[in-house]
Amino acid sequence: MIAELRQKLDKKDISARELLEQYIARARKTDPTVGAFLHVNNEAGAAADAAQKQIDAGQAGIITGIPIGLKDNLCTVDMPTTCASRMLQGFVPPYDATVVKKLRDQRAVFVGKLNMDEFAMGATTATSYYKKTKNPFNLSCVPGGSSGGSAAAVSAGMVVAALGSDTGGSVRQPAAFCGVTGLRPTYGMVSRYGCVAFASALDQVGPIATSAQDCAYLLSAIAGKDDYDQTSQNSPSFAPKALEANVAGKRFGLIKELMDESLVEAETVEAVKRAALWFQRNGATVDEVSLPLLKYAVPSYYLISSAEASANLSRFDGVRYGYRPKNPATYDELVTHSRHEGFGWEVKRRVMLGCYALCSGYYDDYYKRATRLANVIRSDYARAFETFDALISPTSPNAAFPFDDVPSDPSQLYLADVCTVSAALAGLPAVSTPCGYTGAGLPVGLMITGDAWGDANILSYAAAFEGEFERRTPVLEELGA
Amino acid sequence: MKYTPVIGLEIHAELITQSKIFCGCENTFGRESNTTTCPVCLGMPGALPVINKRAVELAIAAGLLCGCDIAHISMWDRKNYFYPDLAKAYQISQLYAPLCVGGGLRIDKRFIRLNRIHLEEDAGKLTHAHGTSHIDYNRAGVPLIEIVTEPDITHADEAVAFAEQVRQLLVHGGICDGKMQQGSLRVDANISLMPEGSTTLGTRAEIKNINSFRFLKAAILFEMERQAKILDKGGRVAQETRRYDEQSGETFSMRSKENAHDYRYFPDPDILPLFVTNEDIERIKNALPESPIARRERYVEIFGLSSKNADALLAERRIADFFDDTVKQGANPQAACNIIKGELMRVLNESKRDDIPITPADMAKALRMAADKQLAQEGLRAAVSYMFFNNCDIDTAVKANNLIVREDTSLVSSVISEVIAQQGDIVARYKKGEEKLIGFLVGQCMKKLKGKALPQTVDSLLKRRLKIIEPV
Repeated sequence: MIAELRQKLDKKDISARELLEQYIARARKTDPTVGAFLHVNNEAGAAADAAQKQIDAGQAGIITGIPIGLKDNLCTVDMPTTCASRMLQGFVPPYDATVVKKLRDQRAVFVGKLNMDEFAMGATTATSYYKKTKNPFNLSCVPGGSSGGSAAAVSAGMVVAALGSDTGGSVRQPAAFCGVTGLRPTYGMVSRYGCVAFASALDQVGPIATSAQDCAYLLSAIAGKDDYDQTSQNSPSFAPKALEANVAGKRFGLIKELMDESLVEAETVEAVKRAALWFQRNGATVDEVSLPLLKYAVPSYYLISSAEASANLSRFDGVRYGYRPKNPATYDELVTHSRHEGFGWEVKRRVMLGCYALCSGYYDDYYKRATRLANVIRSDYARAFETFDALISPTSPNAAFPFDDVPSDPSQLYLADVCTVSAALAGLPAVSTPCGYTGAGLPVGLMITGDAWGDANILSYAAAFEGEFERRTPVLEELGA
Repeated sequence: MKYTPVIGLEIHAELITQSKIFCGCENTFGRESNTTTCPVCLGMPGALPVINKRAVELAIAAGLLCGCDIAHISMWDRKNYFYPDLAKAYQISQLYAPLCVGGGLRIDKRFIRLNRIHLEEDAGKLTHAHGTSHIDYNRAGVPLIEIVTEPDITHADEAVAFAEQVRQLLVHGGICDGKMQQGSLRVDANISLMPEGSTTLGTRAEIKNINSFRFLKAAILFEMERQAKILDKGGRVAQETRRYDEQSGETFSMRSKENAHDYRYFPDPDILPLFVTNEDIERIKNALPESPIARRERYVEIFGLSSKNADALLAERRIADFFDDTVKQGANPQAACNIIKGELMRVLNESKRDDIPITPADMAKALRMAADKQLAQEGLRAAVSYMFFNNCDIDTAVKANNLIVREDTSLVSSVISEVIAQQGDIVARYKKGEEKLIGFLVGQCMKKLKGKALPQTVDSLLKRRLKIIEPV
């Protein structure tokens, strides 16, 4: 879609301002139903005009003038950045995240900030302090999470594309639930500076769009080494070019453990199997591959991510910014009440779990063991990539589920991350693209995992599949929007 | 009972870098509160640390000066605790794999081993006044090294000697400015007592944040006595953190072991491990200035200075450098030492200046003039002081103050006459045989002459006069 819009903008078939207004109008009409936005950018018009100047000067880049949404954990100097938490209500950061700055420099137009699970902890976007975001395919269902606002906004056509962040699946799973494409880039490909940290070793900003090609365009706009993030690296050249969209001769591994019907819904398994057949028909080989250590991925992920979160979220103490209770008598009271009242339950649960995993006496048994498991999972993958170009699997064991069916036992919900967390632990890129629909009409996501820095490859495979897959768009009018 | 004290020190030293350890903010002291800060050192959401290479180099230099092994790979850890001056609520430090390992320093005849030297970030500063507290984050993120000894120190004087030696090494290495009043150098002391002859270590108490060598000694002595009293009564020393109170000279409990923090250290995923090559270490080693230990040896063995004089010159790097440069310009070492330690130090302290506005060449020339008897000692001091405050060369200073000894014997004669007239009693006593009074009379003349004659000249003229007037 970005290439099309690019052409229209460059040929002056439409102005950047007109394009923005189309999307704003769509958002005005739809978002009261979907609830993806936490903040609509009042300055977007001016940004569109600045983009237009660049276009008129013949200096437009691939995303100049394209209306884009941002997950609300990406720092923006001109819009609040709340992480969907009461803790950061009204907080406007003093700086732009590197990805935001890069997009701004290329004159992308920010439509607004999008809802998410509080501090990116969750898989339903229901832990947001502010509002519920609904799945555009079925308003009684969750959009997935934590980048649920980003996925829903793209799915419902309120933005052309959006940035999310993926710690254990937070880009891929909501993309799957909302029937759009989402990429978790190789760890280090995109700067984390200004992306409010959840788990530093795992967080990675990634694009959500209506196609793998658009994800590639957006990735090319945000990738690269950043002097403000030591863990970022210069990736093998990632120019904003058209993807090859070809799978002929490629070897795909179908992850056995994630096709197990005792773990994964039958409709999902079926959809992924059909996708595998498509790959074979188009000249690729598909063989089963076993990653036996995958069963340790979920506990390992929750220990590591919660441990890091417990430290990353300690800075929210009510001293310098953020939520603060009235008239605390002492410093201790200021800190405890700020955190007690400012954080929701899911955040508190993870902070508690993380502190526990790091306590002296438990450190070796929990945190240390979890990092060792992450290392062996990484070597499991390394072995698989000796044979395969990419691995395929479902993105989630199930399609989107009704709000009413959100399990009350959090560990049940955590188990559903089984498909996505292992690539995160291994730092690998993975893309989710729709590969089918359930009987109830909910999208099913196919996940393609690549070797490190193979982001362009997996996007090409996804683009090839998308070329022949009949994708549906949600008909919100039918849902009463 | 008699006890042997077992003492270990942790010395925190702020590094002299342009910018802070994990961000580009200026590393300075005394600026208006919260003006040298940014999202990184304020712990803003989403901000990330980036290591300052200069801080690493200085820490390596400190390690080399203390004989440590430099680790080729060292790592960063987060030390978690809530405190209002700690913006991120964790301090980035090096617990599991520090940059410098082992090493130690010889203090008199004993070798005090080091456990490690690691890098970390300083916290902000709290001030309390009129019932409110203020936080200044200017210091947050200032690079620190922590020098940790083994418990090898056996008495308070040794602890002070060790800390002084470390301070001297850091100051001379250009690593830390050593200003303890400003908190650039702070010492924690771990102390326990062991019954004499025993080999079982006692329970230790840690005294935090001691900011002078005098207090370090006092705190250790107080703590030894306090623990001895407890042990004598059959009691047990509590493992705890204590604070030294400068007013009362006593230590007070801050928190006991039960309330001790669990810092929940874990590797910081935001910063890559630090890789140091042999080439890096070689390059830093080659750039190191002469160590003050070698320098003291040179002053004593080659220049023939007393070790007390050598230490006085070595107290500050700029002083020792100025001394060496003056000697290089041809000055006699002992004479240079005397004037630098005397008049120059006096005017430096008086002016509170950091730089020395006199060139070593001018200082050497002044000393030569004194040696050639063109300048009297008083004239030399006056010239140094004048050069210092007027930022001029020796010729200007001498001319402006008319300091050259002209050996104007008629002037000397008239002054001698005056003094003899004024000091009749003394003159009489001298003549009765109290010969040492001649010194006093010469002094009186010199005072009036204000450096315009040499004391030797006055002495001989005066003696001759006293004989001429009343020949024996």
